[in-house]
Amino acid sequence: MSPANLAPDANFTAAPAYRLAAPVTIKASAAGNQTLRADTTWMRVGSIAHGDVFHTKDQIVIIDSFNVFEADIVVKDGKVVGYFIPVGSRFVVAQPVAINLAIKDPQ
Amino acid sequence: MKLGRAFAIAALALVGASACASGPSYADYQSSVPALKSAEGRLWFYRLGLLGGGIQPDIKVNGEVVGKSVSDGFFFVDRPPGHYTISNSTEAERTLALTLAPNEQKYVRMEAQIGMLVYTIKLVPVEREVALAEIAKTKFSGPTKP
Repeated sequence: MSPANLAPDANFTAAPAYRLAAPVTIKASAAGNQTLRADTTWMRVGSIAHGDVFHTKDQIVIIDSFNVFEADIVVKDGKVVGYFIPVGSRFVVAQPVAINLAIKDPQ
Repeated sequence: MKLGRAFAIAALALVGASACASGPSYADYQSSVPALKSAEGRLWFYRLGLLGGGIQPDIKVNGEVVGKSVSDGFFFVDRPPGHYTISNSTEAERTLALTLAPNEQKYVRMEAQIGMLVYTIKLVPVEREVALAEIAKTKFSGPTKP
């Protein structure tokens, strides 16, 4: 884990803005494996030096180690590159894996 | 040495048989649950099964004791939105870090796991549907009367 300062998204709203088209399994030595479910909705909450930070309320995303941390995902250049832990503002690196977050159609 | 540890674990497990929550069942208690204030969130805690029942550590939220981890028990606390570190300590401290939003309810399963000498309690966030089904099997163990 390393410190990471979140720059909140100025356009952040509580409404989900992105849809995950297909499941994605994230592998991180510090967090175990975790699969993000297809059709979950995500919102961009800001960015850190490692990439953009996305949050979902549709499933629980955690760093599952001896201690447990709720986490958001960090995406850069179409790949998940790690986790952002809001409590304490820390970054956890993951094996880069492609992710397809598509902007949801306006209702 | 291993035999001694095995006896210790067995003894703690036996103690667990008489260390379960004894309050009203969730079904009976449900109607007594106060409405959540809109500016606050709610943290639910529950523990299933007798494993390590003799181990009943305090559960702390940002360092404040809010209840005990009791076998087959549940309780809840309301807190303002914000970042929280939930902790308990047996032979080692284990924590869960989470964020609570206004009017949000989160569910934490307290899982007994065998440690080096005694059980430790891992704190795991659980999705609502799963948690409600599991809490239904437990009894109130909170510090306040229903």
